[in-house]
Amino acid sequence: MTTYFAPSTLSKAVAYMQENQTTKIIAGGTDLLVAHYQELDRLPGLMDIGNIAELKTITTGQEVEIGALVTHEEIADHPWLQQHVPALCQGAAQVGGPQIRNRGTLGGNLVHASPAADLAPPLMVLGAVVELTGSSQVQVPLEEFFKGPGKTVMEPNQILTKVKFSKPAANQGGAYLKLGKRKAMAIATASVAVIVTVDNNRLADLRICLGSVAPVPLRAHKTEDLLRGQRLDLLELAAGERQLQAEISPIDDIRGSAEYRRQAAGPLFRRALLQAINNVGVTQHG
Amino acid sequence: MAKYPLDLVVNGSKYHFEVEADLRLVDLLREQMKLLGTKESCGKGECGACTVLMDGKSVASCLVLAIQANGSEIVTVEGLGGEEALHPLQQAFIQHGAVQCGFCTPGMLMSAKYLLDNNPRPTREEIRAGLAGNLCRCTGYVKIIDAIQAVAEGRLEQ
Repeated sequence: MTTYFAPSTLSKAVAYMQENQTTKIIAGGTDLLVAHYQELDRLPGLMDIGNIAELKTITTGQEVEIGALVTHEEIADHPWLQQHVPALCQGAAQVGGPQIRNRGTLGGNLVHASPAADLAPPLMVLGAVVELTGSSQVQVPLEEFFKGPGKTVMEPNQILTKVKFSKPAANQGGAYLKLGKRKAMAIATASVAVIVTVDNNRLADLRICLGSVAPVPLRAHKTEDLLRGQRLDLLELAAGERQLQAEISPIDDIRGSAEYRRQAAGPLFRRALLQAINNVGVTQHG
Repeated sequence: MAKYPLDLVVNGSKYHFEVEADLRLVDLLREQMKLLGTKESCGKGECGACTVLMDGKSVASCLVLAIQANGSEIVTVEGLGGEEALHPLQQAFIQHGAVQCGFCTPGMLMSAKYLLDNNPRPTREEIRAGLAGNLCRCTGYVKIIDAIQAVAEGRLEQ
């Protein structure tokens, strides 16, 4: 029989996890209750972290911190985030429908470790770090966090408590594009987030992260290396697309074939890159 | 079997229950409270038939454990309005023929309520986006959108 515990503070939650390591953490429940659909009586013991106020805050400024319990809707609707990290808000706005976005949380989107998680690519290109709290507190770069579908570096007694990143600079711009079967409620067939740094009409730096085309949300380092430093009017976009298509390892599943994903990822990336370049300076005021 | 105390407000009245941890909010509403307006269809948060408001936010009540609603305020379609005093959205659905089989209607109404609470004058596109989490398998979306637009624009016939 399922047990239920809903601590009001993080320290109580951490203490409980030390004692009950088979306990599953529940927050929004939009993944956990789907996974246990029609076998709710076989739910593991649950610890509901939904009452922990300290995990619900968004801190803005040069260093941004978003609590694990912040919902997709709160990210999508947050005026400061919309202005400074629009790609992250676009990712959040494309999760499920309103009912899912009102319950589903940032932390849940990451710990579930779906290769299709909508928040992972935009956060990874921001260079985000996740804070894991257990017997001690550790910071893990998001790029090192995912180990495979449903697998992360987290230990059983750890709770993902925060995501942190620096505010993008004035000469940076970002974009997130998602390809799905429908405009709404779709899990990504392929997705891509790009952040660019433009300096003196050159692509001084860029970061690319793709979803749904590899076992984990994937940084495309080789494609970044190929395009880095190029003049904006002489970008080798076709070569970039080819490199990107060589770098990913998509599979066949119900949302699309590997071949389709590989083909679609190229132009999807090209559009995101051009959008990110267009967004440089547009969203940076104050 | 362990039971957990649950205090919540449903449609303006306070209730106390002792529930098992695996009871879902939709089951509490339908089976224990007999509020049968809220429907369950997919049970996986895909269809929106079970949509209710929880502390003012639209949620899929099949993906919320009843115990997670402890301390919350829930509004179901019964709380929107009754036969004596229909909510403008309910009236508009009738006037525009926005109900065919009716199974999706309570969820549509609650999603529409959430939309208009947060965006009183939505565009047609915003109404469509607001209903993205609700399926109508009679495919009667146009009249549902018409009805919501009529309420938003104050074009309701008295």
